[in-house]
Amino acid sequence: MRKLRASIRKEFLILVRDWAGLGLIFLMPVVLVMVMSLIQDVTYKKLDETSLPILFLDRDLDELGMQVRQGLEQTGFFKVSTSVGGQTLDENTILKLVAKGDFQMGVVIKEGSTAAIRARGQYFVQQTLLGDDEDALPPENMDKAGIVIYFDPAIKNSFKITVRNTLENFTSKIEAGILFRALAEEVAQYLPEPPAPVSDPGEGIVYQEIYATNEHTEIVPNSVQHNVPAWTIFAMFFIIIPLTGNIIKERENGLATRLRIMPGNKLQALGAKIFIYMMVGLVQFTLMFLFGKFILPYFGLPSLLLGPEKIALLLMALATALAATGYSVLVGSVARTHDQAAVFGTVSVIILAAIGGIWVPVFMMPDLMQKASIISPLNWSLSGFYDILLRGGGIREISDNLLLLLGFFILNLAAAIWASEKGVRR
Amino acid sequence: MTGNPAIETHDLVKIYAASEEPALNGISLIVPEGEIFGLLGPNGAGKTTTINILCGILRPTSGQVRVAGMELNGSLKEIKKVIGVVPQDIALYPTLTARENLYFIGSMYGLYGKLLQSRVDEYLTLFGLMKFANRTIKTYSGGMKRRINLIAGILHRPKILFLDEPTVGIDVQSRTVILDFLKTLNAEGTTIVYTSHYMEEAEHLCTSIAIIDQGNIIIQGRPAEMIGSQPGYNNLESIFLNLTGRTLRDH
Repeated sequence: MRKLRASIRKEFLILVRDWAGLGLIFLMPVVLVMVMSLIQDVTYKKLDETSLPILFLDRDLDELGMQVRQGLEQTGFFKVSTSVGGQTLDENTILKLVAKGDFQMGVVIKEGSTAAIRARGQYFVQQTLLGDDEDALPPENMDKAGIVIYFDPAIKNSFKITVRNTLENFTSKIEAGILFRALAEEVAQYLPEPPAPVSDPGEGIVYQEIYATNEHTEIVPNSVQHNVPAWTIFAMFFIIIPLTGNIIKERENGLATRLRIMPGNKLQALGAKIFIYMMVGLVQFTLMFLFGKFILPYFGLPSLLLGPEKIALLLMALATALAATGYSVLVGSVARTHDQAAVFGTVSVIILAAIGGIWVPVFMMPDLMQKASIISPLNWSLSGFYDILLRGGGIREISDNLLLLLGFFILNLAAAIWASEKGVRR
Repeated sequence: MTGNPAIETHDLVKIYAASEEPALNGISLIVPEGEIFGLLGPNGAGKTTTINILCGILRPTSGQVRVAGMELNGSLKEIKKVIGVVPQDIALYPTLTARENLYFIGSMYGLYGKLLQSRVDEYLTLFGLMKFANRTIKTYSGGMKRRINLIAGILHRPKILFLDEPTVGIDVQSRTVILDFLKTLNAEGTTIVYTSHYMEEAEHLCTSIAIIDQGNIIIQGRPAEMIGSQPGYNNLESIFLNLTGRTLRDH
């Protein structure tokens, strides 16, 4: 026990004197969490919490044009501009401004769109009520309704689709309203008395959004709830840089040989490293979660909600720290040089993070990558944290993830011991 | 020869995985207790390989090894407690102070508390490093590092001390301090196995010598007897060159 204590003390002193390593371990994740949470905050906000400036040209000057403009403004997602620098817009100006990237989007309602929708409605009503009159020709302006949307080429496709869907959603309502009124007017001609005006029936289908959690928690998904655990896990795995550096320096300086010569076993020397870096992982977890809870709100972000399952959180952090330590020890034992370990360690953690859903949620990945995500220990950890932080889960819900991470740790450690024995006593 | 054998090897062979040529080609040695035994040879002759096998760092391909009366294969744990090793590299933690390094190494040998502290203070004083005890090793000069490296190997007062080129690349003062100390240590009963490229140093320090080349021992005996038995050669260096040749040994 005294030997283990002496080894732990030695590892602690080495760690606290490595300023670059400490910066990488503690400073980098804080910066990452803040930057990523701020960047991604908008994607988690409700539509009325943010607004995107767009250019709008109403060449219709009728019901469709007015209602589209009103609809765009009412979403709160768009700040509609009909003039720039005091000058009214034309289609060419909109094209140029969007192409320059000054605006991400421009909407032009084509001339005669409302009239075309009305004419189309009347034509179909007549066809329906009077039968198929082969001599009756469709009105010439029937196909003239249209909306042109100019997009900045740099805009993300997912955003383009969202805007298009939003526009289609309320233009179809407007179109249905115009058609319905045309139908009512046409039908009225064939009735002995005009029908009483119909009051607005409101929304036909009411949508209710409820987050499916195990318990009725108050937690609402937002960028902080997602990013704090995600980047904490990433940071915990990034101990691969200082820890592999420590192992390889020990080997290069002949210290690994000295350790082999001295009484004591390999597990004792490794045990001290594992203990220290496991503690580093727990400190990272504590600091990052406290940062999410108390500091991020100062930057206009929501506060991290920890939920009631604190022990489950701690166990998940412990298992993640062990998995990260085990992986780092293995890479440090297998790599021949410091550069090899640094490059392989960094790239492998970034790949495992990408596969594991740290950068982009797994459900948004292609099928193949979704299947691949199950091999990433960062994914096991992230799923566990999401179970606790977003789905209200407890120890039972995360037990599979805990076992996977502990199994990963044990396997890596065994492989590391085997590799170093094979390497040294060849 | 005096006393029981501190080290015995029989037909010791070592072939590295990446090599076809044996690094050691059937070496048989007996080092009695209380000797200062010099293992000399050109680069790549097999000196460090022999020391590494005797300390349990490497496994021999074949052959028997007994250290301090115990079979290496099976008693390594016990052997580690009674041997001390001063490796060729400065095997110390550069960001720890001399005292922190020695406390850690002493603890690994089961020293602790006041005994550890007094032992560390004693050796730091003996080697003139007491006032630098709380400076990190990376700030030390080459000679200071060599002295701390030596202290790390003797802190637990081993029965057998292995030194792999302990005086390489240091100033005359540091070398003198180290060699004088080794003589004192030997006089107190410690068996010393020592490798070096410095023939004059070995001639004056060692009570017996083996010259090794290409994995074979080519001569073994007391330095004075060796010099006397080779007509026309009046020092160890000339005998060494005569036996190993003047061809450069890069490996």
